[in-house]
Amino acid sequence: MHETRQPVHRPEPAFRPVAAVVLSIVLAGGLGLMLGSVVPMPSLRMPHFASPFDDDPFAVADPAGRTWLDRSAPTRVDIAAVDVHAPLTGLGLDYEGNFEVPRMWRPHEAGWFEPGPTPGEFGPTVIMGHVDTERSGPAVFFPLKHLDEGDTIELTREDGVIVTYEVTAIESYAKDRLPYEDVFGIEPAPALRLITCGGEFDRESGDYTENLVVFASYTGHRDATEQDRERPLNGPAHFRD
Amino acid sequence: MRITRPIRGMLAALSLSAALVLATAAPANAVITVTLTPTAGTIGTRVDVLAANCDQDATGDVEGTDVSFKLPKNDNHALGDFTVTEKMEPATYTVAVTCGPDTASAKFTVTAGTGASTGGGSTASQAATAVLWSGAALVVAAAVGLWMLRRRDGAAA
Repeated sequence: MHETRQPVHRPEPAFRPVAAVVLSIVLAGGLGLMLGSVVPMPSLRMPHFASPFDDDPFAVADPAGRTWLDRSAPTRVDIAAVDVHAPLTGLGLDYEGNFEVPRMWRPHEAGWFEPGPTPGEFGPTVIMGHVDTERSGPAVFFPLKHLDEGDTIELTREDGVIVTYEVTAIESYAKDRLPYEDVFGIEPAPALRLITCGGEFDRESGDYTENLVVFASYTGHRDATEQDRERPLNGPAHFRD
Repeated sequence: MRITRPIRGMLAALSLSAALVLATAAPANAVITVTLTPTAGTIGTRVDVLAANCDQDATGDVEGTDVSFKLPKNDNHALGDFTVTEKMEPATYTVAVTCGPDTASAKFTVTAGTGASTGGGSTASQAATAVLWSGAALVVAAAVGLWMLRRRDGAAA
C-alpha cells in the first residue's frame, strides 16, 4: 500500500554506469597528469606595455626633491612577518660577471649589492639570499614566498638608522630574463628588492630556473632603540635540520 | 627725515643684497647628486643619468672606458643617458658628471645579464616526477576500479 504509492527506488542498476563514468574521468585525468609531466610546459611571455615615462624615467622621481639619507651600509634585515632576522654581507660580481651570492656554507646570511644604493639613499637597494643550500635545507630567504603585499621589511644601517619598507609586489622571473629596468630601476622614493631563487631546480646546471623578486618601497626611517639592538639574529643553528 | 632717509635707503640696499646673496647662495650650496637608472645592466642597456641641482649643461664620462655623453640642462637639473657598449666588461664602473666647476659621480654595474644563483637545491622536489607518479597512481586506481566493475558485471550475468 505504502510501497505502491512511492516511486520505486532502485540504486543498484544506476551505480555501475555512474561509477564507470567517474572512473573513466579519473583515468583520463591521470593520463593527462602523466602526459603533462613529460611534455615541457610552454612558457608564456606577457606583452610588454611601454610606460609613458620611458623617455624620462626621472619624470616621476626627483632624487633631490627630498632629503634622503646619506650612504651607510646595511648590517641586518628583519622581516617579522616571516621570522627573517639575518645578518648582511657585502656582495659584488663573481669572476664570470654574474651576481655574487652569500656563501653556501653560511645559510643564515643574506647579502646586499654593494655597488648599489644603501637603504634610505635614493634608488633601489638590492638584497640577495639563498632559498636553500646544498646541505642545510631551507636557508635565509626560504620564507620569502610566504610574504604578502603590505608586509614590513626593516633594514638596519651601520649608523644605527632603521629604514622601513612595505612590500608592494612579489614576482617570479626566468633567470635569463631578469628585468633589470624594474629590479635596478628607480622609484619615486628609495626602494628595496629582495632576490632569491624560485621555480624548478635544474639538476643539470645545479641551479633554480627562476628568481623570486620582492619589490618594496620606502615608508620611513627611525633611530634604532635599545629594543631594536637586542633583537637576536637567526644564526646557522636556526637552519640546521 | 633727512637723517632717516639715507639710513632707510641703506637698510633697503642691505636687505636687498642679503636677499640676493641668499637667493644665489641656495643653489650654489646645494650638492650635485648623480642618480642612475637602472643601477645595473647588461650590454645594450640604456642608462639614464640625472645630475640634480646642476643648473647648466653638463658632460658625463664612464671612467675607464671611452664612453662619454652630454647632459643638457633640464629645469635646474641636467639629464642625459648612455648605452652600455660591448667593450664594457662585467664590472662596476664610476659614472662621473662634470657640471661647471663641480663633479659628482655614481656607480653602474655591468653584469653578464643573468639572475642570481640563490639556491643549492636541497629543498627542491622533482615536481615533474611527483606529478608523473600521482598521475600514474590515479590511472592504476581507475583501471582497477573499472576492472572490478566489469568482473561484477560478468558475475551477475
